[in-house]
Amino acid sequence: MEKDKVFMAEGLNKTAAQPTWNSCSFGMEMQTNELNCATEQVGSCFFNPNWDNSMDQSDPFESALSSMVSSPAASNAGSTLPGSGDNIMIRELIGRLGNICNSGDISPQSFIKPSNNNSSANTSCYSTPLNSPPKLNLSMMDSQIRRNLNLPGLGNQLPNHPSLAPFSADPGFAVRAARFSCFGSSRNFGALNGQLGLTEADFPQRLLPTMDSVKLTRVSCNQSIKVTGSQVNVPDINKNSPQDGNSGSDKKHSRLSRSSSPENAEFGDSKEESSVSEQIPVGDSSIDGQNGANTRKRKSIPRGKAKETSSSAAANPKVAAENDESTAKRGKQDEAAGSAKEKTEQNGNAKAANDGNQKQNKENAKPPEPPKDYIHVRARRGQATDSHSLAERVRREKISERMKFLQDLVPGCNKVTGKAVMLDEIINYVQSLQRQVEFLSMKLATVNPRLDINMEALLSKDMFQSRGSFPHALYSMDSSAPAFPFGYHPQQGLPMNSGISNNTEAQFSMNPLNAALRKTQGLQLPPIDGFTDANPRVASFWEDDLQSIVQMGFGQNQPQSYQGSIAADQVKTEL
Amino acid sequence: MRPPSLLKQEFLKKWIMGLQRCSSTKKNMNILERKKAIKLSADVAMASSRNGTTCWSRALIANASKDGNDKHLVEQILGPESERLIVKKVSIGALVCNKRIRSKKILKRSCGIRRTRKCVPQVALASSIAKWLVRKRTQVLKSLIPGGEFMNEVCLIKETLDYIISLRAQVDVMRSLASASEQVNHS
Repeated sequence: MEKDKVFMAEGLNKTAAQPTWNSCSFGMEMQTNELNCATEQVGSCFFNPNWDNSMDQSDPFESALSSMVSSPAASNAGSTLPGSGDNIMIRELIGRLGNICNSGDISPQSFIKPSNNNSSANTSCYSTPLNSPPKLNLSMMDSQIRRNLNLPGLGNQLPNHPSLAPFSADPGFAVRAARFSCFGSSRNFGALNGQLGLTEADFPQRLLPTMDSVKLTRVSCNQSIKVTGSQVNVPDINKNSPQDGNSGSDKKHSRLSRSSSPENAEFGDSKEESSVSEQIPVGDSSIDGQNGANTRKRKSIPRGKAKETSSSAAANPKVAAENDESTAKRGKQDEAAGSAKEKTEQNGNAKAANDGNQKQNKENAKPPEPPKDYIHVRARRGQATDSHSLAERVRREKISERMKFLQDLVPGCNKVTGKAVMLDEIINYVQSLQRQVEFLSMKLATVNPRLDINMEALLSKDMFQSRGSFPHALYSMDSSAPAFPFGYHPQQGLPMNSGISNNTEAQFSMNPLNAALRKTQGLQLPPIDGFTDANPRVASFWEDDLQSIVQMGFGQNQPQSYQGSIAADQVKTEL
Repeated sequence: MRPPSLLKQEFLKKWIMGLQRCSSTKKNMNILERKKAIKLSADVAMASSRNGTTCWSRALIANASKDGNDKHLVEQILGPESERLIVKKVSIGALVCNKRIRSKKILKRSCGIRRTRKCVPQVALASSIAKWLVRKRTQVLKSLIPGGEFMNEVCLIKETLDYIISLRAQVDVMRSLASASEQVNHS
């Protein structure tokens, strides 16, 4: 499955539709040249609707699209079938891609011909494989796509554009594109939750089938970013993040990215070798193609200079030929993609492209926006634009974000700053918790000679059942927390009295206390009935009652023992 | 996040289930065996409450199931998901981890000279000292968290968060149970 996707990606890179594809997705991050404004719009609009599962952003998206290429109406996009979240997202993506590809339908066919012609005349030795893979991939991808996605709506598109359809309907690509948008909202991750472990629980399973493509894309993008280096001037898809319009799906996918990132970190290394070779040329070709089209304006891209002289505003075949010659040394996919890009751009709206270039020039002059994205990151002003440092910075920010959560969790970490000290505290805390577990298990072993816990089980059941009757107001009281650790490790219990432990300890002590109090007559607690009846009064009573109970518990002998109920005993011990 | 009460409930149920099965299988265990059984069932119950979503829980379950004796206990506690949790994740994780470890070893060997120079903290550079300290502590933390050796830093901190929460819940439940059973015995 993974290899299929790799192969598909490889084949897809060679297909005619790659230029549009790159301009839509990868190109959005990696291409620096023209269409930056348009691509930014597309980038911001392209992924958003998929997350929101709504057509709100369809209008700006369509306008951006139309500026790039003459696209058909949003009929296809509007005809996405309802379905589950992932399917909708993928279908929308594919629909949009279909629009883009449909609009550029002239180009790929015309592209294919020159590529065929050029293959014979091409000095590059890699020409022949160009033609074969797409055909091979078509059937494979068609079947796979139809199987995977079950998209009857797309069936119309597929036969029309055989060269484009598999590419446009590539679920792996759709998922990849989806990932990029969720990277955009990854910045909100910290703001969204402090619940890293549990909420992500829902999604990794769903992610698993798509994990392969995700890993591929991440690795590929990292590699391509490293390759292209400083010339990457990516439109900030993070503009999505303020737009979150935040549906749950947006949060979901931000967490998707998070949850998938650890796995990707694990798998990425193993996959790097395999996918680098395929993906690097993608990055190169995408950038080179774009560079070729906007030679004069894009001086900051060193690779573009190689193509500057070659492809100015030439006719399509000439451009293709020149591109082929200039890129003959680069690699197999380059000339195909580059010339295809030339064609699509010139077939489309060349003027819009130039306008986009000019806009992008201005964009570059602006101060770079804060990145905070996983894969495509814009270098900050005055900072190194090396891909390594970019990735490093993203990583550091992620780590610091999570350290903040840890600061809240680990007691006593609020005042310390600095990673080393924080880590020290965390280590101490984890060690102390583990030691407590050991100690308590040893204690339980001594207490239970036969490991029988039936009574406790009964009690716990009773505790849990009666818990529901307790008002929530009781749970949030901090005053009841000290009830528990009195008997046991007060010095350890106090640092444990954060919000979480307070609630639970209170729960544990309150239920048996209440049960015991109801049963025992000896304890004089007038507001007993008030506990269950009047919630607001409890808080004030609780502390006083606790103290009185403590005194009574310590002073009294063993009271009448209830055979089946440990509650009373528990009351004494805990208080 | 699930409310901690739910987490504790779930943990307690699974733990008690595991302990009961433990006591049913083996009679007359000595104290150390009992302690080991208690701790094991508690850990596995806590890990299973995560349903295989976190790395540390999977690693913990994997470590627990390595031993043949304990594997039955683990499977009983986990219930129907045991195959899913143990078999698949363990194998995948082990493969990947082995690859990573091997590749890291190769890298270390190749950069041996550079590494030896950097191992000594250069007094002149405070930043390098700080980095060295952080690295040392990260190593310690990795040894503490189950399955931590296989994570990168980002993942490690996230796992630590989750692990701390689970540990805390576990300690609370165990403490209450210990106190309750102590009183039962005293009475």
